[in-house]
Amino acid sequence: MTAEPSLRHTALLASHLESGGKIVPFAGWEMPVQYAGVKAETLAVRENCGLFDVSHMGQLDVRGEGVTQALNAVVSADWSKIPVGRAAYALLLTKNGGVLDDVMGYHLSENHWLVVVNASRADVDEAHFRALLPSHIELFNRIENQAMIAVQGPHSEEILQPFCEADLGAMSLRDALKTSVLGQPCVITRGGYTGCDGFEWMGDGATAPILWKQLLEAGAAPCGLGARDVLRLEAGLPLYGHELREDLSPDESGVAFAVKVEKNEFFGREGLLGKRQTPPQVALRGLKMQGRAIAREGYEIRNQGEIVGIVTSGTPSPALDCNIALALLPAELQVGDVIEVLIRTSAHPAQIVVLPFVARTTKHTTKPVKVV
Amino acid sequence: MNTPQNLFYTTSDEWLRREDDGTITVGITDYAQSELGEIVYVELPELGQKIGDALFGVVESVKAVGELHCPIGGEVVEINSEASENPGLVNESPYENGWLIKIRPDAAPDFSALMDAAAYADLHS
Repeated sequence: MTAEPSLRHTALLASHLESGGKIVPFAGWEMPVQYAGVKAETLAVRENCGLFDVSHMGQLDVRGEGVTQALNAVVSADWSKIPVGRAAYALLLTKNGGVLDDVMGYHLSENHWLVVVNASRADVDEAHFRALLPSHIELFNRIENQAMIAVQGPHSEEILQPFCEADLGAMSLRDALKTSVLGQPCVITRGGYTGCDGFEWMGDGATAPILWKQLLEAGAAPCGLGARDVLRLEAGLPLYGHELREDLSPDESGVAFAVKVEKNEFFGREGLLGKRQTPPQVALRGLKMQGRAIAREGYEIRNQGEIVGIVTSGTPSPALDCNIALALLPAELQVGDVIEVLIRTSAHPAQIVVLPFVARTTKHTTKPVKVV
Repeated sequence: MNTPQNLFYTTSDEWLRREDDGTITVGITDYAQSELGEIVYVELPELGQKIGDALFGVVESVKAVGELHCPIGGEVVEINSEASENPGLVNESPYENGWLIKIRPDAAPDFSALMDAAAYADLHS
């Protein structure tokens, strides 16, 4: 007989309950899936400002002499080019060149990076880093007192600024600063997972509910995991377990941009080069359903009478008032082609479209930005 | 949670109402619509379709798919196209304007396996 491990909760659980959040288990945590409703929350973000509790995500503090080089031997992107004060996306690859997870790294000071990973992969990723980083590099899992709030939408800067010491207006996409909010030290980064302008605050558990409440009073809407998933899909962004998997290469999942094989050896590089001996048979594409039926994860795709692919994620899009999906399809199919999604007993046409579905409105400045 | 007395209920959160003309009207309960959240899509069977063990349609919110089942076999004699066109009707009025289908049962319908209002309310208390 084994005991069920109890669910963890973030520093914001009471705040969620106070706002009428519907709490569900997610990756071992009690998390709000929605408050006012997924559609309303999605539109609130696109039109105004929404708050997301993302404290459940893994936060790994990585410190030591030569930490950048050490991390660079683990991640797929070239983090040696990322100066202090900047963030970068990367993949963790498996030995065979599949994807273990996607991560964001924040270069906070010369010998210090913060690496944020998916909640569902936090244990796997931590073990991966521990196994690969040299022993003099300290890796600390912030889990005990961490909190993270994503503030997303066109008004996020004006809503967050009064509480924040740093000049948010001077921050461009993927800037990451150590600053203070409500007088407490924290990290602020410009970016997010919605395709909108926004910020992520990473701070301590005691400050989180105070900040959350202040931001709600300033006009932000509480938003749950349901809306978070719709927004990232509308933005054409992949999610581990759906588009990113250990049995898919970055090329198949549309994230080859996050891999720099030209840099020095990193974990999985050889495996990926091995996979690249043959051109990818499948590719991730965006689909727009032509009718009102909704395509969902796992639905099969038919082309000219044969099952050729599968939906990896799908949803109605409140922003576009149509149904969208990401799907793995034969690599030779192109934007404009129409295929069929099998939904229950019938076939529903869908067209391959360019990603993202909803145009990104993230903030860049004219400052030269080092491209990863 | 609203659970009208004059209806029969299933464990999958549908309600059934016997009509005077022998037909049976089917819909989803107030509990079901509340659990689903804002319904954005309603898929109903064709007129004349035979209903049996298989699902007869779906009601979907952004994040969830609610399969529709009817425990009494029969033929679809009417569908609520207003609900198909305006899925929010099922949220607003699950027992009245948001009804989904009417069937003519194959045989004398056996309601004994279904719950009454008190039993259904108990299930979700």
